[in-house]
Amino acid sequence: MTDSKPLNDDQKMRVEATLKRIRSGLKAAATFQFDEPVHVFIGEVKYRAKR
Amino acid sequence: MQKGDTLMEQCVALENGSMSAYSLAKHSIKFASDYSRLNAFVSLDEEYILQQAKAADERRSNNGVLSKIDGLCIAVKDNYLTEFYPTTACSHARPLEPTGVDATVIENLKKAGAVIFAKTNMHEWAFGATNTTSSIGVTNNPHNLSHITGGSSGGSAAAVAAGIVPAALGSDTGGSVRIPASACGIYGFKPSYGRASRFGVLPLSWSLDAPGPMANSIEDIELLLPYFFGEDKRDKSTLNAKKYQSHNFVGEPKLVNLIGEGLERSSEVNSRVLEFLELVSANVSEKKLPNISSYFAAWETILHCEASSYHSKLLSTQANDFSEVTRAHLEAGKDLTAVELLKAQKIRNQFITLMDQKLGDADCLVLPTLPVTAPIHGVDWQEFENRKVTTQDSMTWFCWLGNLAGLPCLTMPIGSDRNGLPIGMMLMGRFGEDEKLIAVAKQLDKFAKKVRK
Repeated sequence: MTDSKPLNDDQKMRVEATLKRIRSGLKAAATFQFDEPVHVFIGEVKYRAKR
Repeated sequence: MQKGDTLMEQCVALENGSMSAYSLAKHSIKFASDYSRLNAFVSLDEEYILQQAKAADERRSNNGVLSKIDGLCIAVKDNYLTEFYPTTACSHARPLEPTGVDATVIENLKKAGAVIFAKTNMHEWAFGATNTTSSIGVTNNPHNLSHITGGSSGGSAAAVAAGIVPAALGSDTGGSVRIPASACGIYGFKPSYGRASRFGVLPLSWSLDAPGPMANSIEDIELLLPYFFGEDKRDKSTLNAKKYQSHNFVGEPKLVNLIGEGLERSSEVNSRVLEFLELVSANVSEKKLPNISSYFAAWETILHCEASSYHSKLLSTQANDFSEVTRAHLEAGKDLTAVELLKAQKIRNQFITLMDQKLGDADCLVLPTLPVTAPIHGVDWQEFENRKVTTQDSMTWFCWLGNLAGLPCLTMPIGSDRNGLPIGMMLMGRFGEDEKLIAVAKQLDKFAKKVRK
């Protein structure tokens, strides 16, 4: 195991830009209280694979 | 043997005795050496290849042929576990998976007698769509070496497009089969999520990944699909998955051309697509897709979170071994919250319904595979239709839609731009109806052949 180098300025900028873009996109989406997320439960996959 | 022979043509050559598996393999080894400037391969062992080919010839002479593809060479992206070749994901941060194991698809191909030719260059850990970040260096486009292949299955696409091998394997999380296939002018297929086994294919994002074939014709793609499809006890997402069963499509396919903000494309790509659609136009309608940036954010959230989770051990022990860009992606994934991931999964649910609605009673959705042709190495930005986006984003521009909704997708070449660089058309079918999508694509391919130049 080696000590991880801290992120350099370019990497920090990339991380920030990625998070900013993702969060702005998520924020713009209208989801409702009773919306459910897609699950990756086997039951659902089974149902979908059989369709 | 001609460079660029299809699998089907090579099948015939073996059946009629005009070629042996050994001579086909020898030619492929020579072509790989002739085209070494593509940098398509990360591992290639001549002795191993010829030993497999000799065994195939012996089976044939003893009337023990295992399948149509017995004795044919297939190259493999370096994120499929292979018993013989090491698997590096083209990263200095090496996989922790056991060695000496075959992915299910590899196991199936070997049982059918295919010659596992070599491991192909890829974008590091498949986390990128340009094939410019790799432990062995960039991959070059066979149509013009100063252009990228796209990725992340860029080595596989280059090897097929150059005619070194008739087919290769890729994996697709946001277009990684379709992007390089389109940029290099070949066919590529991403199955519906849950129909093809991912076992032994190093994950990028479990709920978005799909393994898929790349080849010089749709018939070759279809020939390979049975080795991908069906239930695999080692990949629970394939529970009760149907085996591949060829489908006939009669009549004129009904197509929906997707447009809207965020789905712009260069004028040259657009005119080629319109020319193509005009040829098949009796049944083409246009539909707008709204809120693309939110859906894209959902795809990016899931991708980053799942990739960071999968790589958490390597990140804690070998963070410095990842390339700077890949590490930055993985660090970003660590900062996203569980609430944000669940919101992304809610948006994904909406998107699946939306794509189903847009498809309606049509046979498939249509888009260009890429908004631009293969970019030049070292050019970080692409401009088209008042858009300025990173080259990376331009590669996944249309392709992530199919992964977020889990749909079967196919890219086919429909011509080239003024510089001779290929343009591809993408078809997206209904979930689980992969066979129908292939059948529709065969119909359209007849038209595509007319506009290819």
